[in-house]
Amino acid sequence: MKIIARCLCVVFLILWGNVALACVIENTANSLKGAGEIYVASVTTIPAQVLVGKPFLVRVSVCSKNGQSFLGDIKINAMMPMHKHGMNYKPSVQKISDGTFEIKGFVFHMPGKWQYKIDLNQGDSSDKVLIDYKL
Amino acid sequence: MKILLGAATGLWALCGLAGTGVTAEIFSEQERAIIQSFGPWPLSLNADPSNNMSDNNAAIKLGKALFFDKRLSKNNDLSCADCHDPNNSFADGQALNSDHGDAIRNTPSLFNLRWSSWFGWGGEADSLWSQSIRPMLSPEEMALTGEKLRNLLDEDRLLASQIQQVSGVSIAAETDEVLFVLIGKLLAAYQETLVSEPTAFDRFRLAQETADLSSSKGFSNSAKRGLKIFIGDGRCFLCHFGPMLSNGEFGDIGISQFISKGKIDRGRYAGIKILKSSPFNRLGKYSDNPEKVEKTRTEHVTLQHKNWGEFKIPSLRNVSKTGPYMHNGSLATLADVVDFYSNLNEERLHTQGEAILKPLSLSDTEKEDLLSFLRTL
Repeated sequence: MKIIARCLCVVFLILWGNVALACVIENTANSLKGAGEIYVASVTTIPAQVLVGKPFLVRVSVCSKNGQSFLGDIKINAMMPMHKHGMNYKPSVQKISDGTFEIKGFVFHMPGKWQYKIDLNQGDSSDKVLIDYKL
Repeated sequence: MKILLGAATGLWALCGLAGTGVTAEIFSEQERAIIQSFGPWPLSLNADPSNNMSDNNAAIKLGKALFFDKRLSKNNDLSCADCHDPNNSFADGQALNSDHGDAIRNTPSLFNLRWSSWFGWGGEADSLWSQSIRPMLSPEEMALTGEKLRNLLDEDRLLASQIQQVSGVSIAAETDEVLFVLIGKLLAAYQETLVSEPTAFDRFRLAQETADLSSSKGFSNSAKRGLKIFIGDGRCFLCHFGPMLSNGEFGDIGISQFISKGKIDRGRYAGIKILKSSPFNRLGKYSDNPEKVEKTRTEHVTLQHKNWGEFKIPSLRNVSKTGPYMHNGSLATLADVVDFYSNLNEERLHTQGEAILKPLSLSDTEKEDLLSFLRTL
């Protein structure tokens, strides 16, 4: 009986641990989500309403598709695919915590369709997430 | 083929409009939203936190006096107002000014600069006060030296006293650089007051906003068709965006970069280098209130190959009064500008240039409509 109870306890702890560690990306009303092959990511802007020609902050949240935390680093940029040009500014990324990044230096200087390109690197694995945004 | 299709689409849109008594109803929901994005005008008048003398009445008055003061030039023969003529929209009406040396860039109007983020055709400065220092120091323009400026303030004690009183800075103990910064900030305080009046287009936009169409009678049907081109197939509004009718950034539209044999104007490429190395940029010690100053652009602007030959996208407000046009004044009239975009030479555009630039292939009527609209700005 004691052995069964111990086993149940171990199972419970494993399940509880998995639930506690399950990674969830930021998902506010203005968050945009995208997925690569391994990871999912969201982009949240501050302010929520991006204005043409005005600087804004970007917060990126990343998790693996199987709910594991993202422990790596990112690079991020944006371009207008139809115009074949990017921004005139190079964003700077600050890691806030595992899977959470704050980026300064975004300025969308034209109205239209923009696309965030997030390059993800963790150890030997790399991935790319593209997220569209209509300004 | 794509160009032909684009032109055909444009003609299709216009066929139903030309000479048919166009009314505001011809604008779609999306078009009306774009039209509203060109206002309101004027924008709110916020002081520049990087300049402690911004919006200070005494500084504005003193800055205005300095703007017309020829003693700020090496030979006491050139003031700011000599090139930025108040009777000429604060421009000079010349392609390239040759009155005081051979300028290589067209003299831009000074209206509405308080809402700019970049200054100069190459964006060499990130504040109006910093930009105001440049012509004073330029050997080709006012060629003012620190010694000459100090002598002026030694001789004109009233001026020195006024500057000290307004700025709160004891100038005798300060460096030449500080003196130039003070003069630049006073000149900027005055230039911030140069705001163009609301135009026929602004009244039309407001009429659309309030649905009071009777107050847009001065806006002709031809101008409405021109507006359609501007925000439609012409794609002009992508760069000439917002109340300033400029997104404040830079573009390469295929205008020659050659100045003379062996000399090239590198435009934004050189501008970024000058900005980054300037002691007068917003990241430097002369910028006031660093905690309040927006520095994102200056911190993050990055030199890219595409910057070569890019020049500032000018505001189109008062555009009919500010010719000749382009960074080198190479297009004499607004009609020349419309012709230029109609016949755009794609081979002259860099491969990294704007993919949105295509020849507009406008008919004579369409050109006249576009001109009619531009004259309302």
